[in-house]
Amino acid sequence: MITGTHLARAFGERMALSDCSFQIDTGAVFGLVGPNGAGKTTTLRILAGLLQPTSGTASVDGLDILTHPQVVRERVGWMPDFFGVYDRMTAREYLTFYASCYRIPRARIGRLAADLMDLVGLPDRMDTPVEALSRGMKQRLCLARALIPDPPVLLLDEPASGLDPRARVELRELVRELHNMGKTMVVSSHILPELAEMCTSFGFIDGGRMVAQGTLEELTGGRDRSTLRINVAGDVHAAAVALDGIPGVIAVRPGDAYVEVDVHAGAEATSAILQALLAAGITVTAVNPVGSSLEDVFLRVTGQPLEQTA
Amino acid sequence: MTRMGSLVWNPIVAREARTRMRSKRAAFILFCWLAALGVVAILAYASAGNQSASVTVLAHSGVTVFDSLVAVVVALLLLLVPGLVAGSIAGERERQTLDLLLCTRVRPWRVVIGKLAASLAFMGFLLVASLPILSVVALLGGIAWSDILIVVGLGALTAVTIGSMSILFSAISKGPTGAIVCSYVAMFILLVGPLVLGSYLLAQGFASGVNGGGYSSSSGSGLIAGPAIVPQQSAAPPLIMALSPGVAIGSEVASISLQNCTSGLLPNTFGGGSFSSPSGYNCGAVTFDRIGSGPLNGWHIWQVFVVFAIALSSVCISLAIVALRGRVPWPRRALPEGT
Ligand SMILES: Nc1ncnc2c1ncn2[C@@H]1O[C@H](COP(=O)(O)OP(=O)(O)OP(=O)(O)O)[C@@H](O)[C@H]1O
Ligand SMILES: [Mg+2]
Repeated sequence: MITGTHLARAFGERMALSDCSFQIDTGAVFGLVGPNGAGKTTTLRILAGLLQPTSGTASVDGLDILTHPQVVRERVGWMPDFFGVYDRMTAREYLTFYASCYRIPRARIGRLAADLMDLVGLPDRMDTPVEALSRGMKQRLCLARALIPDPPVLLLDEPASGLDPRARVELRELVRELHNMGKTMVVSSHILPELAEMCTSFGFIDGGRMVAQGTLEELTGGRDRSTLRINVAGDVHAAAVALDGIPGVIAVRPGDAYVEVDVHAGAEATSAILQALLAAGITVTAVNPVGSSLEDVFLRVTGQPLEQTA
Repeated sequence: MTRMGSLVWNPIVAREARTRMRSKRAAFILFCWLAALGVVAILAYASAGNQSASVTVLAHSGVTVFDSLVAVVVALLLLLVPGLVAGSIAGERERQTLDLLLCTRVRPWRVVIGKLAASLAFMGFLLVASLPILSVVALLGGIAWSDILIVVGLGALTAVTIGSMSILFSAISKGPTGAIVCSYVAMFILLVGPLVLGSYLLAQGFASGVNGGGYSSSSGSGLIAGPAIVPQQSAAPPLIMALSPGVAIGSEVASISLQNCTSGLLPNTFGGGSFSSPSGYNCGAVTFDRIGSGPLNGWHIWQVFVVFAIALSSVCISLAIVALRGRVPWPRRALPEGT
């Protein structure tokens, strides 16, 4: 359980955080969403024990970050948005170095490094120099580093930025796996759709304030839906007919060479839709999410739309 | 882990040592270092040979070569220190690895000590690498090892002092460039400041305690002016001059030369102003490396410097630790590291 109570942080005159309160249940994957400069990184750095709040406080598993900063630092795995790596080191040496910084006994380090590299999907990159890894690989190495002390809490700052679509899917898988391992995670992003699928609850942050938070249900009042725009080659109306009655589909609106389909956000309707279209002999040229009720909520509470893409 | 083991535990030193030795730059520095030493040794022998070919002067020439080698060793070491040390913590900050380090169980004081030790260890490595050349020279010159140890020790202490100043700048600046520039300026002030201030005071007629006896009768201004003709009368140099590493090391080297000096013919070949000592031109005439009056009466100049250097280093290192601790939240009462 992570709580923040009236967290504020000033950098000189500028308030990076003005009043930020939140509560994250143990085992949750909490999506921290907000535009650039909203205070996401500041919040996470405070939780990681790297930044002193100007006022307010936070606690991790009941331990106050102000009175027990060192204990909290060891319970929290921190993955910054920018990951520094040292030159002239292999991935193995990189992990070994941080493991020794956490005072892991030497005899256990080799095994631990191998296990972590396995977990993040880089088992064959053990002896690759760190600077020769791709951006996505560095990010995973960084995640492996954050996992060294086996922290119950993980803070991931913009983990998906700079990743290609495939790497994002893999990241999502990884987050899911860590979720299944029982880790509490806070994942920040300024792109909502990126988080929508991997998080169990959300916090919308804007201008240094937590403007809304809760599960998908709570935020959308149970009427959550998202909209897909499906470009089809051929008869739009035939497509609309084919989509009628599929579970999870709320409404279908034929357009000019595309159909817009409202679906329940929770339901895995996309594959059923694609199967139905294929069965009807309709060629699908593109599927794009164009909006969701979660985004509507975000728009309502912050008064500005989120970016759709990176 | 034992108490002792836990005190010296420092993963940073191990990592730095390993990656630094891997770099091409390390090999390059080592090569240049040894080449410079060799060239100076050869030049010094050649110039000594011109003066006299007789075997009896070999001891003298040994002194000369040793003198110049020490000058090169000290000068080069000092030139390297800010470059090696100042970038260390500031570089981690720029690369944003400092946060990752401070997240772990490595406490800020360990980061400071580890970074300093790792950089200075590389210099120790350079020093060890140059021991063969130094010892050949020492053997030929007939110089006692204890003298060499004092000089090398003073050089090392100077390096630690400059290193401590550099680590302070490294801990407080945003990036390595600013830290390195500030460190070089600070080094320059440390090396030259006491001399300038001292000679200013001297010019103002402010005489003080360095060497009531022989020293003052030789020359005060000679300390800075180098090959000056010994003036008939002058004031003793102010005590503040003893705070310059150049004077401390110079006085010790000159005293070594003095012990080996049989005639006044052999000039001290030190080139740099701060290394020249009036006694080099005054063989056997005076005692010049002690303080002659005041509360520190009887102290060697180098002893004064040692005390000063240790104090300055401690202050700088403490401030660096404070600066680094200020970056992360800290409890009023630190919990034991093992918890
Ligand atoms: N070290 C700092 N010094 C001065 N101002 C800072 C510092 N860190 C953050 N700020 C300011 O605090 C505000 C919040 O920054 P923060 O990095 O938390 O935003 P963010 O939500 O992470 O944004 P982004 O999506 O761009 O990463 C910004 O206005 C920023 O300018
Ligand atoms: Mg950020």
